[in-house]
Amino acid sequence: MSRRDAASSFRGSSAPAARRLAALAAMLLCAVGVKPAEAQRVVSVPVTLRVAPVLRVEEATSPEETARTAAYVEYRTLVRVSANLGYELRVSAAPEVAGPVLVRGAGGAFEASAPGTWVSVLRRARPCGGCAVEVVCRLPASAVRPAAVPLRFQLVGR
Amino acid sequence: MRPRLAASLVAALAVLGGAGPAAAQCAGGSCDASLSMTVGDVMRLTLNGANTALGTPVEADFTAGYRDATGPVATVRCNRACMVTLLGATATFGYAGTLPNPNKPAADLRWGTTNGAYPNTLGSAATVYSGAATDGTARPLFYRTLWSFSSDVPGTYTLVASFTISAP
Repeated sequence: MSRRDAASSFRGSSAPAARRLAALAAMLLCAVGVKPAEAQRVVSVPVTLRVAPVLRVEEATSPEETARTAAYVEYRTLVRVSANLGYELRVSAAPEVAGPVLVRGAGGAFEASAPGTWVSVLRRARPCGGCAVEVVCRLPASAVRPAAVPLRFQLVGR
Repeated sequence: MRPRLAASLVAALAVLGGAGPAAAQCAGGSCDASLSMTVGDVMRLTLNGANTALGTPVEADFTAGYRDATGPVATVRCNRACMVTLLGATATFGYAGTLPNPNKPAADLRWGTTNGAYPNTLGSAATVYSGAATDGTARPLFYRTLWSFSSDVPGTYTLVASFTISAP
């Protein structure tokens, strides 16, 4: 068959060929169409938080008498504190207290506290939420039983 | 036979490739020409903020246990059904500070698309948008960060939020 004949033959059968071509194309296009799309894009956005030191003395319970001698009366109170870092709890005698106030310090010994003089009661290396700290103090036996603990509290971050 | 096969192949590739007119079918004084084009998945996700600062919690936030903040607005455009999910890029926040890294979990950052409702966390993927083709659906995001005295030490925390848009 000459080149011309081949061309004529192709032209002569163009309609069936076109149908086959359309069928082939349709089949291939369907195959593409049913393939699940895998398109995906990711957008990343940083979220930033800044946290400052936060310390809080939440409450102190009413003083509870735990011991009494001729010289002093000992009271115990629980102080609830929260801090998001290590902290130190300090106490100082309230200005209205008459006479010396002894406070049990972090080392276990009682230390004299006057208004404005701070005694370290507890040092803690870790943060704490709502932790109860026991504070023990001694007032002169002649002092009137206090309705509230006669101390000022100070919480310091470490 | 070979020329016929070659012509078919060329025509098929032309149709598949969206290369314009295929072989014209002419009869008498008119010709029919077919045109084709391929439309792929077109999806676009826009956020109106590149960085979200969730603020600095104060004592009241620690006491409440959380702090709320408004996040970005995600706008979705897609020419077919698509979905957008949100997930923290890492399981924990990065930490910069003077204290030991508390490894704050990504799950401590909750979020929702309605102010006051925070059903999802950045600790696991959740859906921001899922639906039909859309020409701009806006989804505002609202964040709630959980705070605890005992674990959230002072410092700066950073987490990368990954929004993924996909056509399922």
